[in-house]
Amino acid sequence: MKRKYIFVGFCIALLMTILGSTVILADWDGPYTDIEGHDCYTGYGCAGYIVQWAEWEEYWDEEEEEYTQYKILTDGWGYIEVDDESDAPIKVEEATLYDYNDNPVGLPPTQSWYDWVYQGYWWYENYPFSDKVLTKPQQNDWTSMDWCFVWNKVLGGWNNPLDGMQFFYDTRDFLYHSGLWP
Amino acid sequence: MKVKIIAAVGFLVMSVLAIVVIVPQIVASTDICSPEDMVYEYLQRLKSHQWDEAYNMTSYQFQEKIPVEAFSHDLESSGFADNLVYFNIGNTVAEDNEAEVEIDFTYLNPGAKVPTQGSSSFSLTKEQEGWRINLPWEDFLAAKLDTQAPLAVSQKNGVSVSIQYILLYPETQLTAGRSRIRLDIKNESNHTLRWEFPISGERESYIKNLNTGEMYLPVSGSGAMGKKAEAFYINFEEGPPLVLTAAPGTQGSVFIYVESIPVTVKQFDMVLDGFSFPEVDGESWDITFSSVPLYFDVAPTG
Repeated sequence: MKRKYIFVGFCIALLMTILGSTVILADWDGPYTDIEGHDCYTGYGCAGYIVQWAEWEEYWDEEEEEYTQYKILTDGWGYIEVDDESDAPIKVEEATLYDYNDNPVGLPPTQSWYDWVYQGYWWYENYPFSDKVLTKPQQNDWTSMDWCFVWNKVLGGWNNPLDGMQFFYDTRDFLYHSGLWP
Repeated sequence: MKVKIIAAVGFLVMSVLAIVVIVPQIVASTDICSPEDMVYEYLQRLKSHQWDEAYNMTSYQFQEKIPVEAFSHDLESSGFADNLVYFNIGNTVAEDNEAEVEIDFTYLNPGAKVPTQGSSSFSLTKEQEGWRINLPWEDFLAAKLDTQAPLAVSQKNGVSVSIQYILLYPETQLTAGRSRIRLDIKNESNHTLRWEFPISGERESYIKNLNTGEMYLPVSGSGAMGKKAEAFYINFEEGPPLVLTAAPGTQGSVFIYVESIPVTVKQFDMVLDGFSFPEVDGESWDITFSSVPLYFDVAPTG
Protein backbone atom coordinates (compact mmCIF):
# COMPACT_ATOMS: atom_id res chain seq x y z
CA MET A 1 0.00 0.00 0.00
CA LYS A 2 2.80 2.28 0.95
CA ARG A 3 4.48 1.56 -2.38
CA LYS A 4 1.25 2.44 -4.14
CA TYR A 5 1.20 5.89 -2.50
CA ILE A 6 4.83 6.41 -3.38
CA PHE A 7 4.11 5.45 -6.97
CA VAL A 8 1.08 7.80 -7.18
CA GLY A 9 3.15 10.58 -5.60
CA PHE A 10 5.88 9.96 -8.07
CA CYS A 11 3.42 10.12 -10.95
CA ILE A 12 1.90 13.34 -9.66
CA ALA A 13 5.37 14.84 -9.26
CA LEU A 14 6.26 13.74 -12.76
CA LEU A 15 3.03 15.20 -14.11
CA MET A 16 3.63 18.49 -12.31
CA THR A 17 7.14 18.64 -13.69
CA ILE A 18 5.91 18.09 -17.23
CA LEU A 19 3.12 20.61 -16.80
CA GLY A 20 5.50 23.10 -15.25
CA SER A 21 7.95 22.70 -18.09
CA THR A 22 5.18 23.14 -20.59
CA VAL A 23 4.08 26.34 -18.94
CA ILE A 24 7.61 27.63 -18.94
CA LEU A 25 8.07 26.67 -22.56
CA ALA A 26 4.77 28.22 -23.52
CA ASP A 27 5.70 31.35 -21.68
CA TRP A 28 8.74 31.64 -23.86
CA ASP A 29 7.13 33.29 -26.83
CA GLY A 30 10.17 35.38 -27.63
CA PRO A 31 9.70 36.13 -31.25
CA TYR A 32 13.19 36.81 -32.32
CA THR A 33 15.33 36.79 -35.33
CA ASP A 34 18.59 35.01 -35.28
CA ILE A 35 20.51 35.18 -38.45
CA GLU A 36 23.35 32.78 -38.50
CA GLY A 37 26.71 33.56 -39.93
CA HIS A 38 26.94 33.36 -43.65
CA ASP A 39 29.48 33.74 -46.31
CA CYS A 40 28.34 36.52 -48.54
CA TYR A 41 29.32 37.11 -52.08
CA THR A 42 27.70 40.07 -53.65
CA GLY A 43 26.72 40.67 -57.18
CA TYR A 44 29.28 43.43 -57.15
CA GLY A 45 32.35 41.46 -56.33
CA CYS A 46 32.43 41.98 -52.57
CA ALA A 47 33.11 39.03 -50.40
CA GLY A 48 32.82 38.58 -46.70
CA TYR A 49 31.11 37.01 -43.76
CA ILE A 50 28.20 38.39 -41.87
CA VAL A 51 26.33 37.73 -38.67
CA GLN A 52 23.36 39.62 -37.42
CA TRP A 53 21.35 39.24 -34.31
CA ALA A 54 18.26 41.01 -33.08
CA GLU A 55 15.41 40.35 -30.74
CA TRP A 56 11.81 41.17 -31.35
CA GLU A 57 8.60 41.30 -29.46
CA GLU A 58 5.05 41.72 -30.58
CA TYR A 59 3.45 45.05 -30.19
CA TRP A 60 -0.12 45.33 -29.00
CA ASP A 61 -2.06 47.82 -31.04
CA GLU A 62 -4.56 49.43 -28.71
CA GLU A 63 -6.84 50.66 -31.46
CA GLU A 64 -6.90 47.49 -33.51
CA GLU A 65 -6.93 45.41 -30.36
CA GLU A 66 -4.58 42.88 -31.82
CA TYR A 67 -0.93 42.27 -32.38
CA THR A 68 -0.23 44.13 -35.54
CA GLN A 69 3.36 45.17 -35.31
CA TYR A 70 6.73 44.21 -34.02
CA LYS A 71 9.16 46.09 -31.94
CA ILE A 72 12.88 45.58 -32.09
CA LEU A 73 14.39 45.29 -28.67
CA THR A 74 17.58 46.98 -27.72
CA ASP A 75 21.02 45.56 -28.16
CA GLY A 76 20.78 43.92 -31.52
CA TRP A 77 24.13 43.73 -33.19
CA GLY A 78 25.78 43.09 -36.49
CA TYR A 79 29.19 41.79 -37.39
CA ILE A 80 30.88 41.62 -40.74
CA GLU A 81 34.23 40.62 -42.09
CA VAL A 82 35.43 41.65 -45.51
CA ASP A 83 37.76 39.24 -47.22
CA ASP A 84 41.26 40.35 -48.13
CA GLU A 85 40.57 39.54 -51.73
CA SER A 86 37.19 41.26 -51.86
CA ASP A 87 37.12 43.56 -54.83
CA ALA A 88 35.52 46.44 -53.02
CA PRO A 89 34.89 47.68 -49.52
CA ILE A 90 31.45 47.34 -48.01
CA LYS A 91 29.31 49.92 -46.34
CA VAL A 92 27.13 48.85 -43.52
CA GLU A 93 23.77 50.34 -42.79
CA GLU A 94 21.30 50.09 -40.04
CA ALA A 95 18.91 47.21 -40.35
CA THR A 96 16.05 47.82 -42.66
CA LEU A 97 13.07 45.59 -43.09
CA TYR A 98 11.77 44.92 -46.58
CA ASP A 99 8.45 43.60 -47.68
CA TYR A 100 7.68 41.31 -50.58
CA ASN A 101 7.90 44.14 -53.05
CA ASP A 102 11.29 45.27 -51.77
CA ASN A 103 9.76 48.35 -50.21
CA PRO A 104 11.39 49.33 -46.95
CA VAL A 105 8.92 49.19 -44.13
CA GLY A 106 9.10 50.33 -40.55
CA LEU A 107 12.50 51.83 -40.15
CA PRO A 108 13.03 55.03 -42.06
CA PRO A 109 16.45 55.38 -43.61
CA THR A 110 17.51 57.74 -40.88
CA GLN A 111 20.67 57.25 -38.92
CA SER A 112 21.66 54.77 -41.53
CA TRP A 113 25.11 56.03 -42.24
CA TYR A 114 28.17 54.17 -41.13
CA ASP A 115 31.80 53.80 -42.11
CA TRP A 116 33.21 51.78 -44.92
CA VAL A 117 34.59 48.39 -44.01
CA TYR A 118 37.68 47.80 -46.08
CA GLN A 119 39.25 44.63 -47.33
CA GLY A 120 40.85 42.63 -44.54
CA TYR A 121 38.86 44.39 -41.79
CA TRP A 122 36.09 43.34 -39.47
CA TRP A 123 33.34 45.55 -38.18
CA TYR A 124 30.93 45.29 -35.28
CA GLU A 125 28.11 47.56 -34.27
CA ASN A 126 25.65 47.36 -31.46
CA TYR A 127 22.37 48.89 -32.56
CA PRO A 128 20.77 51.09 -30.02
CA PHE A 129 17.33 50.13 -31.16
CA SER A 130 14.57 51.13 -28.89
CA ASP A 131 10.98 52.14 -29.22
CA LYS A 132 11.04 51.28 -32.85
CA VAL A 133 7.99 49.56 -34.16
CA LEU A 134 7.97 47.66 -37.40
CA THR A 135 5.08 46.78 -39.58
CA LYS A 136 4.02 43.19 -39.29
CA PRO A 137 5.03 40.96 -42.18
CA GLN A 138 2.36 40.46 -44.77
CA GLN A 139 -0.18 37.82 -43.87
CA ASN A 140 1.98 36.85 -40.95
CA ASP A 141 4.40 35.23 -43.35
CA TRP A 142 7.86 35.44 -41.86
CA THR A 143 9.51 35.01 -45.24
CA SER A 144 8.35 38.49 -46.11
CA MET A 145 10.63 39.80 -43.39
CA ASP A 146 13.89 40.53 -45.00
CA TRP A 147 16.78 42.12 -43.24
CA CYS A 148 19.04 44.29 -45.26
CA PHE A 149 21.81 46.23 -43.71
CA VAL A 150 24.64 46.10 -46.09
CA TRP A 151 25.05 47.84 -49.32
CA ASN A 152 27.88 48.17 -51.68
CA LYS A 153 29.23 51.41 -52.89
CA VAL A 154 30.62 50.41 -56.23
CA LEU A 155 27.85 52.03 -58.21
CA GLY A 156 26.82 54.35 -55.46
CA GLY A 157 27.75 57.45 -57.34
CA TRP A 158 24.78 57.05 -59.54
CA ASN A 159 22.45 54.66 -57.87
CA ASN A 160 20.03 55.14 -55.11
CA PRO A 161 21.79 53.46 -52.19
CA LEU A 162 18.86 51.14 -51.73
CA ASP A 163 19.57 49.69 -55.16
CA GLY A 164 22.76 48.29 -53.74
CA MET A 165 20.92 45.74 -51.66
CA GLN A 166 21.87 42.95 -54.01
CA PHE A 167 24.37 42.05 -51.34
CA PHE A 168 21.55 40.62 -49.40
CA TYR A 169 19.47 39.31 -52.22
CA ASP A 170 21.78 36.35 -52.18
CA THR A 171 21.17 35.75 -48.54
CA ARG A 172 17.41 35.56 -48.32
CA ASP A 173 17.62 31.96 -47.36
CA PHE A 174 18.83 32.93 -43.95
CA LEU A 175 17.23 30.77 -41.35
CA TYR A 176 14.94 32.66 -39.06
CA HIS A 177 14.23 31.08 -35.73
CA SER A 178 11.05 32.31 -34.30
CA GLY A 179 8.71 31.58 -31.50
CA LEU A 180 5.86 32.75 -33.67
CA TRP A 181 6.57 30.86 -36.84
CA PRO A 182 7.68 27.29 -36.54
CA MET B 1 39.98 94.89 -112.88
CA LYS B 2 36.33 95.18 -111.93
CA VAL B 3 36.05 91.43 -111.69
CA LYS B 4 39.09 91.26 -109.48
CA ILE B 5 37.61 93.84 -107.10
CA ILE B 6 34.31 91.96 -106.95
CA ALA B 7 36.18 88.72 -106.28
CA ALA B 8 38.26 90.34 -103.57
CA VAL B 9 35.21 91.86 -101.88
CA GLY B 10 33.38 88.58 -102.19
CA PHE B 11 36.28 86.71 -100.61
CA LEU B 12 36.43 89.27 -97.81
CA VAL B 13 32.70 89.01 -97.16
CA MET B 14 32.81 85.23 -97.16
CA SER B 15 35.77 85.27 -94.79
CA VAL B 16 34.00 87.57 -92.38
CA LEU B 17 30.87 85.43 -92.60
CA ALA B 18 32.92 82.37 -91.92
CA ILE B 19 34.47 83.95 -88.87
CA VAL B 20 31.12 85.22 -87.59
CA VAL B 21 29.18 82.01 -88.19
CA ILE B 22 31.58 79.08 -87.90
CA VAL B 23 33.98 80.08 -85.12
CA PRO B 24 31.27 80.57 -82.46
CA GLN B 25 29.96 77.13 -83.35
CA ILE B 26 33.39 75.64 -82.81
CA VAL B 27 33.70 77.47 -79.51
CA ALA B 28 30.23 76.38 -78.50
CA SER B 29 30.95 72.78 -79.33
CA THR B 30 34.00 72.71 -77.08
CA ASP B 31 33.07 74.93 -74.16
CA ILE B 32 29.35 74.56 -73.78
CA CYS B 33 28.70 70.86 -73.40
CA SER B 34 25.27 69.35 -73.36
CA PRO B 35 24.24 67.34 -70.26
CA GLU B 36 24.82 64.14 -72.23
CA ASP B 37 28.33 65.26 -73.17
CA MET B 38 29.11 66.09 -69.57
CA VAL B 39 28.02 62.67 -68.34
CA TYR B 40 29.96 60.98 -71.12
CA GLU B 41 33.11 62.94 -70.32
CA TYR B 42 32.67 62.38 -66.60
CA LEU B 43 32.47 58.62 -66.99
CA GLN B 44 35.38 58.56 -69.39
CA ARG B 45 37.49 60.36 -66.82
CA LEU B 46 36.45 57.96 -64.10
CA LYS B 47 37.32 55.01 -66.29
CA SER B 48 40.80 56.40 -66.75
CA HIS B 49 41.24 57.21 -63.03
CA GLN B 50 41.35 60.96 -63.67
CA TRP B 51 39.77 61.70 -60.32
CA ASP B 52 40.72 65.36 -60.13
CA GLU B 53 39.38 66.08 -63.59
CA ALA B 54 36.16 64.21 -62.85
CA TYR B 55 35.82 66.09 -59.56
CA ASN B 56 36.11 69.40 -61.42
CA MET B 57 32.99 68.47 -63.36
CA THR B 58 30.88 68.14 -60.22
CA SER B 59 28.56 70.85 -58.92
CA TYR B 60 29.82 73.51 -56.52
CA GLN B 61 27.17 72.39 -54.09
CA PHE B 62 28.79 68.96 -54.04
CA GLN B 63 32.30 70.37 -53.81
CA GLU B 64 31.35 72.49 -50.81
CA LYS B 65 30.47 69.31 -48.95
CA ILE B 66 33.07 66.87 -50.23
CA PRO B 67 36.77 67.65 -50.79
CA VAL B 68 38.61 66.21 -53.74
CA GLU B 69 40.70 63.94 -51.51
CA ALA B 70 37.59 62.18 -50.26
CA PHE B 71 36.17 61.91 -53.76
CA SER B 72 39.38 60.31 -55.05
CA HIS B 73 39.74 58.02 -52.05
CA ASP B 74 36.18 56.79 -52.41
CA LEU B 75 36.43 55.99 -56.09
CA GLU B 76 39.87 54.50 -55.87
CA SER B 77 38.91 52.14 -53.07
CA SER B 78 35.63 51.11 -54.65
CA GLY B 79 37.34 49.62 -57.68
CA PHE B 80 34.64 51.23 -59.75
CA ALA B 81 36.74 52.32 -62.66
CA ASP B 82 38.28 48.96 -63.30
CA ASN B 83 35.02 47.10 -63.44
CA LEU B 84 32.89 49.36 -65.60
CA VAL B 85 33.04 47.75 -69.02
CA TYR B 86 30.67 49.78 -71.08
CA PHE B 87 28.13 52.54 -70.78
CA ASN B 88 25.66 54.13 -73.09
CA ILE B 89 23.96 57.49 -72.74
CA GLY B 90 20.18 57.17 -72.83
CA ASN B 91 17.32 59.63 -72.55
CA THR B 92 17.80 63.12 -71.23
CA VAL B 93 15.22 65.31 -69.62
CA ALA B 94 16.43 68.90 -69.38
CA GLU B 95 14.70 71.96 -68.06
CA ASP B 96 16.10 75.43 -67.45
CA ASN B 97 18.77 74.64 -64.91
CA GLU B 98 18.20 70.98 -64.17
CA ALA B 99 18.78 67.87 -66.24
CA GLU B 100 18.52 64.15 -65.79
CA VAL B 101 20.59 61.91 -68.00
CA GLU B 102 19.86 58.21 -68.09
CA ILE B 103 22.56 55.67 -68.75
CA ASP B 104 22.78 51.96 -69.36
CA PHE B 105 25.90 50.24 -68.22
CA THR B 106 27.65 46.91 -68.21
CA TYR B 107 29.62 46.02 -65.15
CA LEU B 108 31.90 43.02 -64.94
CA ASN B 109 32.27 41.57 -61.50
CA PRO B 110 35.74 40.21 -61.04
CA GLY B 111 35.56 36.46 -61.28
CA ALA B 112 32.14 36.53 -62.89
CA LYS B 113 31.65 35.05 -66.33
CA VAL B 114 28.67 37.15 -67.30
CA PRO B 115 28.69 40.93 -66.93
CA THR B 116 25.98 42.65 -64.94
CA GLN B 117 23.79 45.06 -66.82
CA GLY B 118 22.01 47.97 -65.26
CA SER B 119 20.65 51.41 -65.78
CA SER B 120 20.73 54.54 -63.73
CA SER B 121 20.68 58.29 -64.09
CA PHE B 122 22.73 61.36 -63.35
CA SER B 123 21.37 64.61 -62.09
CA LEU B 124 22.94 67.81 -63.44
CA THR B 125 22.59 71.45 -62.55
CA LYS B 126 23.45 74.41 -64.75
CA GLU B 127 25.90 76.73 -63.10
CA GLN B 128 27.59 79.88 -64.37
CA GLU B 129 29.79 78.30 -66.99
CA GLY B 130 27.66 75.30 -67.91
CA TRP B 131 26.34 71.95 -66.76
CA ARG B 132 27.80 70.15 -63.78
CA ILE B 133 27.25 66.70 -62.31
CA ASN B 134 25.31 66.92 -59.10
CA LEU B 135 26.34 63.87 -57.10
CA PRO B 136 24.69 62.87 -53.81
CA TRP B 137 27.22 64.09 -51.24
CA GLU B 138 25.87 61.64 -48.69
CA ASP B 139 27.49 58.80 -50.61
CA PHE B 140 30.90 60.34 -50.08
CA LEU B 141 30.54 61.37 -46.46
CA ALA B 142 32.16 58.20 -45.17
CA ALA B 143 35.21 58.77 -47.34
CA LYS B 144 35.38 62.38 -46.20
CA LEU B 145 35.39 61.41 -42.55
CA ASP B 146 37.91 58.66 -43.25
CA THR B 147 40.38 60.96 -44.93
CA GLN B 148 40.11 64.12 -42.88
CA ALA B 149 42.63 64.99 -40.17
CA PRO B 150 41.52 63.90 -36.69
CA LEU B 151 39.97 66.51 -34.42
CA ALA B 152 42.47 65.75 -31.70
CA VAL B 153 45.05 63.22 -30.56
CA SER B 154 45.97 62.32 -26.98
CA GLN B 155 48.56 59.89 -25.64
CA LYS B 156 49.14 58.25 -22.31
CA ASN B 157 51.14 55.21 -21.18
CA GLY B 158 52.03 54.42 -24.78
CA VAL B 159 48.42 54.40 -25.90
CA SER B 160 47.37 56.87 -28.56
CA VAL B 161 43.73 57.84 -29.03
CA SER B 162 42.57 60.16 -31.76
CA ILE B 163 39.10 61.56 -32.28
CA GLN B 164 38.62 60.94 -35.98
CA TYR B 165 35.21 62.56 -36.19
CA ILE B 166 32.05 63.50 -34.41
CA LEU B 167 28.90 63.02 -36.41
CA LEU B 168 25.59 64.39 -35.28
CA TYR B 169 22.47 62.33 -35.75
CA PRO B 170 19.52 64.67 -35.70
CA GLU B 171 16.47 63.81 -33.67
CA THR B 172 13.71 62.18 -35.68
CA GLN B 173 10.21 61.05 -34.91
CA LEU B 174 11.46 57.63 -33.99
CA THR B 175 14.87 58.19 -32.51
CA ALA B 176 16.48 60.61 -30.15
CA GLY B 177 19.30 62.79 -31.37
CA ARG B 178 22.80 61.62 -30.53
CA SER B 179 26.40 62.09 -31.55
CA ARG B 180 28.51 59.32 -33.00
CA ILE B 181 32.21 59.50 -32.20
CA ARG B 182 34.90 57.47 -33.88
CA LEU B 183 38.04 56.97 -31.82
CA ASP B 184 41.12 55.46 -33.39
CA ILE B 185 43.15 53.61 -30.77
CA LYS B 186 46.74 52.55 -31.17
CA ASN B 187 48.53 50.48 -28.54
CA GLU B 188 52.22 51.35 -28.80
CA SER B 189 53.02 50.09 -25.32
CA ASN B 190 54.57 46.73 -24.46
CA HIS B 191 51.44 45.55 -22.65
CA THR B 192 48.06 44.25 -23.69
CA LEU B 193 45.54 47.05 -23.38
CA ARG B 194 42.06 46.64 -21.98
CA TRP B 195 39.40 49.31 -22.41
CA GLU B 196 35.88 49.19 -21.07
CA PHE B 197 33.41 50.98 -23.28
CA PRO B 198 31.54 53.81 -21.58
CA ILE B 199 28.25 52.83 -19.97
CA SER B 200 25.14 54.76 -20.89
CA GLY B 201 24.40 57.58 -18.47
CA GLU B 202 27.52 57.20 -16.36
CA ARG B 203 29.78 60.17 -15.82
CA GLU B 204 33.20 58.57 -15.91
CA SER B 205 33.49 59.34 -19.61
CA TYR B 206 31.99 62.49 -21.05
CA ILE B 207 32.26 65.48 -23.33
CA LYS B 208 32.10 68.89 -21.74
CA ASN B 209 31.15 72.16 -23.39
CA LEU B 210 33.98 74.52 -22.50
CA ASN B 211 31.80 77.62 -22.58
CA THR B 212 28.89 76.47 -20.47
CA GLY B 213 30.29 73.51 -18.56
CA GLU B 214 27.43 71.36 -19.78
CA MET B 215 28.26 67.66 -20.06
CA TYR B 216 27.17 65.20 -22.71
CA LEU B 217 27.14 61.65 -21.39
CA PRO B 218 27.43 58.31 -23.13
CA VAL B 219 24.25 56.76 -24.51
CA SER B 220 23.62 53.25 -25.75
CA GLY B 221 25.19 51.98 -28.93
CA SER B 222 28.77 51.16 -29.72
CA GLY B 223 30.95 49.50 -32.26
CA ALA B 224 34.45 48.66 -33.34
CA MET B 225 36.47 47.98 -36.43
CA GLY B 226 39.87 46.39 -36.84
CA LYS B 227 42.12 44.32 -39.03
CA LYS B 228 41.26 40.64 -39.14
CA ALA B 229 44.92 39.74 -38.81
CA GLU B 230 45.50 41.71 -35.60
CA ALA B 231 44.74 40.96 -31.97
CA PHE B 232 42.56 44.03 -31.61
CA TYR B 233 39.10 42.77 -30.75
CA ILE B 234 36.06 42.93 -28.54
CA ASN B 235 34.04 40.05 -27.23
CA PHE B 236 30.73 41.38 -28.40
CA GLU B 237 28.70 38.53 -26.96
CA GLU B 238 29.54 39.66 -23.45
CA GLY B 239 28.78 42.82 -21.58
CA PRO B 240 27.79 45.50 -21.04
CA PRO B 241 30.24 46.97 -20.70
CA LEU B 242 31.90 45.78 -23.87
CA VAL B 243 35.60 45.26 -23.43
CA LEU B 244 38.24 46.03 -26.01
CA THR B 245 41.46 44.04 -25.93
CA ALA B 246 44.41 45.34 -27.93
CA ALA B 247 47.73 43.52 -28.07
CA PRO B 248 50.95 45.55 -28.24
CA GLY B 249 51.47 47.07 -31.67
CA THR B 250 47.82 46.79 -32.76
CA GLN B 251 45.36 49.47 -33.70
CA GLY B 252 41.74 49.88 -34.68
CA SER B 253 38.66 52.04 -34.32
CA VAL B 254 35.84 52.15 -31.85
CA PHE B 255 32.52 53.94 -32.08
CA ILE B 256 30.71 55.38 -29.14
CA TYR B 257 27.68 57.60 -28.81
CA VAL B 258 27.06 60.52 -26.52
CA GLU B 259 24.02 62.69 -26.04
CA SER B 260 23.28 65.09 -28.84
CA ILE B 261 25.85 67.89 -28.88
CA PRO B 262 24.28 71.23 -29.87
CA VAL B 263 25.64 72.91 -32.98
CA THR B 264 26.52 75.93 -30.85
CA VAL B 265 29.34 74.06 -29.11
CA LYS B 266 32.63 75.22 -30.59
CA GLN B 267 35.15 73.79 -28.16
CA PHE B 268 35.08 70.86 -25.79
CA ASP B 269 37.00 68.76 -23.30
CA MET B 270 36.70 65.02 -23.38
CA VAL B 271 37.47 62.35 -20.82
CA LEU B 272 37.60 58.64 -21.66
CA ASP B 273 37.85 56.41 -18.63
CA GLY B 274 38.42 52.69 -18.29
CA PHE B 275 41.85 52.01 -19.80
CA SER B 276 44.08 49.49 -18.07
CA PHE B 277 46.97 47.02 -18.47
CA PRO B 278 45.64 43.85 -16.77
CA GLU B 279 49.00 42.09 -16.85
CA VAL B 280 50.69 45.01 -15.03
CA ASP B 281 48.47 46.22 -12.22
CA GLY B 282 44.96 46.35 -13.68
CA GLU B 283 44.48 49.88 -12.41
CA SER B 284 42.16 51.96 -14.50
CA TRP B 285 43.27 55.26 -15.98
CA ASP B 286 41.79 57.78 -18.35
CA ILE B 287 42.76 59.66 -21.46
CA THR B 288 41.79 63.31 -21.68
CA PHE B 289 41.44 65.83 -24.46
CA SER B 290 41.51 69.54 -23.71
CA SER B 291 40.15 72.50 -25.63
CA VAL B 292 39.35 70.60 -28.80
CA PRO B 293 37.82 72.76 -31.51
CA LEU B 294 34.63 71.10 -32.64
CA TYR B 295 33.79 70.74 -36.31
CA PHE B 296 31.21 68.14 -37.00
CA ASP B 297 29.07 66.91 -39.80
CA VAL B 298 25.42 66.11 -39.64
CA ALA B 299 24.44 62.64 -40.74
CA PRO B 300 22.16 62.47 -43.73
CA THR B 301 18.57 61.85 -42.72
CA GLY B 302 17.63 60.01 -45.85
